[in-house]
Amino acid sequence: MTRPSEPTANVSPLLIGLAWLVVLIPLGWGVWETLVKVGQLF
Amino acid sequence: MGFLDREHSVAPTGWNRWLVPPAALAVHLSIGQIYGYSVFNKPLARQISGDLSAVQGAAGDWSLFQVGLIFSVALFFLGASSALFGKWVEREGPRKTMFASALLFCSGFVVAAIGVRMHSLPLIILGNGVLGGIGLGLGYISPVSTLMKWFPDRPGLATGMAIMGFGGGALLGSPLGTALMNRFANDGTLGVSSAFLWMAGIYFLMMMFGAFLVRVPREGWKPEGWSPAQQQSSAMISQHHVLVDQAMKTPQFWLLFAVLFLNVTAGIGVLGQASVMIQEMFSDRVLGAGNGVTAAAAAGFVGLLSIFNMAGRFIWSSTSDRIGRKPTYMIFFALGTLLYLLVPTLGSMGSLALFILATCVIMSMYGGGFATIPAYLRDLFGTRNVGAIHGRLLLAWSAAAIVGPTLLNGFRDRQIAAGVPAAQAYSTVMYVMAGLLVLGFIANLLVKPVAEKYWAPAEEPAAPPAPAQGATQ
Repeated sequence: MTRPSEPTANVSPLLIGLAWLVVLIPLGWGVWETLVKVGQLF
Repeated sequence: MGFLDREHSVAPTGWNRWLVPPAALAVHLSIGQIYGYSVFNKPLARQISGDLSAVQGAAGDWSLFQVGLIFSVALFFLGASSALFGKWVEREGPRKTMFASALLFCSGFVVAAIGVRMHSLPLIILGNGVLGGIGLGLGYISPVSTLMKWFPDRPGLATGMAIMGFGGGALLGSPLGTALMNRFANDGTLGVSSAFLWMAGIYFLMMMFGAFLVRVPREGWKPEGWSPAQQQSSAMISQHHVLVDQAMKTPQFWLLFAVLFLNVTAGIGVLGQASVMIQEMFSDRVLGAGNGVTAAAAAGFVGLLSIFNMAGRFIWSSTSDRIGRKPTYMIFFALGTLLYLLVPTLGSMGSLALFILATCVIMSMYGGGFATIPAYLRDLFGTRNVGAIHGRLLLAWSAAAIVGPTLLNGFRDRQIAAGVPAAQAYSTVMYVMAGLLVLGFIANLLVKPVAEKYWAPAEEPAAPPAPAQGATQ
């Protein structure tokens, strides 16, 4: 049984991709900066 | 402010659950900054002298020990607030909690920036330690329990994604803090107060992104094509719920408290001293002139440990979905014991590469222990109150944050006072850590399914069950 008043949302894959980019870009920058430091170990 | 209420964050039909992990990550990446807070320690301790290269501060400068209190207070309030406000978090839902967390965490930076300008350590502790610490506690547990409700089929993967963000927060917060201090180095506080203000703004935007994006699944929602019956194969996964106050009366809660406490104590022991440890164990005296580990290389080693700490959160936690939580912790404790026993031998052999490998695996299991525990709680106590139960269990983290470094420093100092060379002073500590992990192994071994007398009565559904396709995967 469905409820007629239920809100619906059509989430596009683009929106999901953008949402992930918002968090992965800063994280990626942090990992890169750390890897540069790690380079000094070897 | 009604949009912050739980009912306004219920996902509409067609919502995709893969939008929820970025919301959780946004919050955890922000609050995980606390693990990168040490970049501010020296600049804070040189506010009067204004000379970062000076070994000693000027009269009136705070000591590194005093500055270190900020981090300890923040971790204490993380544990205390998550234990105290866990029920509120469950009742009010993730959006209001994330909003409150953002307000507290970021206003903490503003208060601390004023404290730096006024050269008032109590004000900085109030800002970053008390306000920031409460923000940490609220922001830590809320996304985790929300994700577990969206991913009942893969709770380990879900918690791993969020808690990996907390580990990653240090990787982001540390270079961000350094870059901001360099940019505003001439602000009269070595760039610290300006960096704090900028971080307040940046992290507020990031956390608001999470608060806007987060949704809770509607009552009765489950992933398409999945039913709870598929998990019946393991007796360790309960289909019942235990309320938070009842959970604390069970032996399982206290066994998991011991499991988390012992795993974190052992890991913090290495993490907190990694830089000094590798330089002392592999100095020029041990490896020969010019071959010893330098301070710059030691900083690289700490960075490598942070990456393994972060990656371990995701890898071990998602692995636990396949092999089970109890076997995962068995691996942590058995392999951890073996590696801790090996570390002194690797040090005396001068085998730097194997030493690095062993400590990286130890760090991955330290991170994995944090990320797998919410899924373990969810298996034993059900999803209804898992956020609040997780909040109470995090007190084990606060306790370990005090015991771990104290234990390591105490043993090391006693060894050196007894005339043991610095390179060998860590051996006893490693053996003690191995002993702690054996205790953890036993505690984990004793974990059994929760007895029926603790189960909460089944709730009548408030509305007809939503169609399985109510939200997509």
